[in-house]
Amino acid sequence: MTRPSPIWIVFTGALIGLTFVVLSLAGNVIGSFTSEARFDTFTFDAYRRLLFDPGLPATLMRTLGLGFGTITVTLVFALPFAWLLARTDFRWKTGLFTLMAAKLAIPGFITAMAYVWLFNPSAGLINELAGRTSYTGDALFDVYQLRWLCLLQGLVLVPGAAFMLIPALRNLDGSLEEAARVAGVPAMTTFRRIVLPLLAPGVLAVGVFYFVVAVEMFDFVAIIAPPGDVLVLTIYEALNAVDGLPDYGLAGAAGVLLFALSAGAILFYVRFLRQARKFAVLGGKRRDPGLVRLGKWHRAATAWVLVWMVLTVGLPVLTLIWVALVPFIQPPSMTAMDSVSLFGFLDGLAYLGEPLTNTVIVMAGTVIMALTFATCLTWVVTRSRSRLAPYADALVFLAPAVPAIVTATAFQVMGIAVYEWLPLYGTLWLIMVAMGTRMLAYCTRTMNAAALQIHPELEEAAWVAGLSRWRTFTGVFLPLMAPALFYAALMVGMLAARDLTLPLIMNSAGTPLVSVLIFDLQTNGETASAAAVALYMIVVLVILALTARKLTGMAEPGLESRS
Amino acid sequence: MITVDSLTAQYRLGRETVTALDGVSLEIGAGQVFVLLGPSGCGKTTLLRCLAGLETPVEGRITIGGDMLSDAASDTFIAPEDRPLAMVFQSYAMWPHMSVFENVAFPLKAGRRRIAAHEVKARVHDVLDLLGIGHLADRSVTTLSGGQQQRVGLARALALQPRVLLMDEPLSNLDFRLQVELRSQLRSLMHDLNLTTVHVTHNQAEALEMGDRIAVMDAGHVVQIGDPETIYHRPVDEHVARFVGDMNLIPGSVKRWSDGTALVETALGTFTAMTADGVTLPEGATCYFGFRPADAVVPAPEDADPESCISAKVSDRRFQGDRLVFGLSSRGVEFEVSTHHSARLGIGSDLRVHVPPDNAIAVKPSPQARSEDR
Repeated sequence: MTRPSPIWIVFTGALIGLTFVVLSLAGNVIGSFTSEARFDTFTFDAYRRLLFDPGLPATLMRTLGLGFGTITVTLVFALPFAWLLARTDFRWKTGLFTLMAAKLAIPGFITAMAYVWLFNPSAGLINELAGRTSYTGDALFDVYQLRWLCLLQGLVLVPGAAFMLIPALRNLDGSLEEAARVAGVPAMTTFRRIVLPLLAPGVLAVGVFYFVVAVEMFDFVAIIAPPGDVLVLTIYEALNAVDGLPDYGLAGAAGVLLFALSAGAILFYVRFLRQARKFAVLGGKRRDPGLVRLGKWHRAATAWVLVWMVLTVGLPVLTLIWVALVPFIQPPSMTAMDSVSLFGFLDGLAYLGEPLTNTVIVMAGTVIMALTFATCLTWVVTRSRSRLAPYADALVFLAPAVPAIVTATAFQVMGIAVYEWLPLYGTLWLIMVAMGTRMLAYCTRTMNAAALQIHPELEEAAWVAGLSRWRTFTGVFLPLMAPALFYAALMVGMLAARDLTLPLIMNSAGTPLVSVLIFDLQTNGETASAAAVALYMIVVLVILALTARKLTGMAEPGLESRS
Repeated sequence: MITVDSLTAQYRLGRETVTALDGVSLEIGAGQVFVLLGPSGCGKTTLLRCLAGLETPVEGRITIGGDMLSDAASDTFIAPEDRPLAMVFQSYAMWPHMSVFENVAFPLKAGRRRIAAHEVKARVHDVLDLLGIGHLADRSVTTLSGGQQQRVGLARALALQPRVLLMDEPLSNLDFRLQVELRSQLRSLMHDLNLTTVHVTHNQAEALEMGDRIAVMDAGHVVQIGDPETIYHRPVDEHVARFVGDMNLIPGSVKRWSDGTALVETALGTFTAMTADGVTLPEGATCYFGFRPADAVVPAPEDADPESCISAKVSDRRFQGDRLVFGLSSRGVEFEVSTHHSARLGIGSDLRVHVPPDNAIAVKPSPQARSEDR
């Protein structure tokens, strides 16, 4: 005798979640075969226009350049930082951890905005200070360049990359290095010939992941459009045609191309991983690697951290504060000091009303949706032994390769397609669904990791003791996952609030979000208000980020530990 | 060959500072296999790592063949790569991105003790052949079994022709049969090469079989140094007696002591026992009367001195294949004897055993503080 178990709820949740993930790509593919937003036609017209565009090769080259340039900058900072945190006696570890966690909370487009105010050729503050703007002849700095995009994107991706590299460095078996040293191999040679080759898979993983992030990132491109297109810009321009309707066909086709680029990178990485498995050493007891004494290099390490801090936090935040205080952008001077006022902060507050409500709604909706479906998916993948599990796992693994801008286009297209029956197009709800889908992949990845840490026997014990699978799910699995869920909720809420890409692409009049408000204010030249609202946002997000970090305690486990 | 003088080493555990070695001094003669024996956490591996230069002592000196390797007082510290020694790791520490040949050749090509390029190949093959793994030279180390990896680790160390070989629990990850096989092979190899070896283990059988001399360690101290027979038959205290082989330890007090012989009063009677060299037992002090289960004569012969016999009841009987172990009980004291497997004795039967004074030992209890450290 078996009673029907409500566990089907979990399976259904997982299936719905997977459907959304599939839709986030499928909608884009469907769109790419339409013309003029008509869904009763099937045409290759968009692909023809995209592929025979004489500018395409150059666009692709620039996109690749953006990807490689960005990860180079990222790794130049993230590798030493991860090493300092994982393997040395660096004195400011806690400070660096906190700084990097807080940095995650400063939205990329706000950093981009600050840099435009500092380095744009016609009126950038630095150019003005140096007396060399494009009006006076030649500008000292011109931020509207691909290399500036690489630098800025690279700088903001450092914390995430460093956090990903730390486990790889910590897991390196210390006795492999010691064996070389005792066998007479000098420290530098040991690093070059033993440590680097063994770290290669980890570093490559981070490189590939952030290559994908770099080519799909829209925060910087939206604000600092470089001369000549990159793929995300091609998509954005197709959707925001100056004359006439959004060109969903072209946007879709370019999106498919962008996805192919990302998926290609990820598949390359998967293949490499399979090769790298043979590096795994059998048996034997591993040893925690000891901490390297920095000694006289301590100053150099501190200096390198300071360089990053000034570039990503100090300079942008100071710029925001200054710009928020003066009525129009001008370098600090005695006359400028006379015009300092809190007007921007008050004006920003006046604008905040509706966008703030909308943002809170989108945050809450995204968190609820992403967490609900991600929990179901995690359970199915790690616990159910269902035949669905490996497919779900693979799909969730590949989902981050779907660029945000592609997800946005896909849901716009779907929104139009079903508008007659379900009028979600142009509402907050559609933004919420798109964002929830995007976060779903992120959530599932982190939650799977947490679920695998929980010994399955804890649930098996309940099961064998006579509890149904559903009761085991609600009574054992969920409570044990609570810390992971709470952390994921904070992170998703934060990422949802700071996202510009989805709202910017999907926003139709009437539902502004705070991120779009900032973007619009800065586009309209209301710089003081834009900077003030940006500062409000940063303060709230930093609080969220630091709370999340405090909760996990994962940031700095046993810095000096030694078995 | 090696002198270690009042060596103290510490490491950080979270916010605490743990003293892993507390003023250890010892000397190791040239060509000896010197074993550091003790339970986990006793400091034996830390001592080995200090010799290798992988830990920095906070106090004390280490010299090898008269060369100062480390002296905390004068801030002298020779880096690991510049020390004339080689080490075999517990984890084998095979470099997974290199073949067997490359694992052995890498230090010879890239290290401080590099040799002429044209000699590398011959040196590597010689040592691989010596250890019987010449046919594995081109294999990836990750495809090797534990025993094979262990030999590659040893080959890598021997190829450097070190003055001192350090081995950190080299056999502990192998299955039992292989361990026993390798013990005698390793021992004869070390003696053939006349190589000074410092060998760390927590396995007392391995220590007794392989060592020329053994240092028994506990909680950062060296408790006793001696040849295997001395360590086994004349332990200095309770810790050594308990750690090296099975021993019955019956609590009592010293009635009389002179010149290596003690009279110990226990609940079972008063017995004569030996004491280790250098141990003094003041009259009235608490101590243990100890003997090994296999050293008791079962049953006691008719003509045995009644002063050194114990009458007891059999409370437990355990068949262990080559022998039988009996748990005995007398006046509330439990102890064990072992005998040939043919003995016919049931549970509950009475038994008289003889403990020859030459095979009995009187030991001091271990200092409380030391055992609490662990």
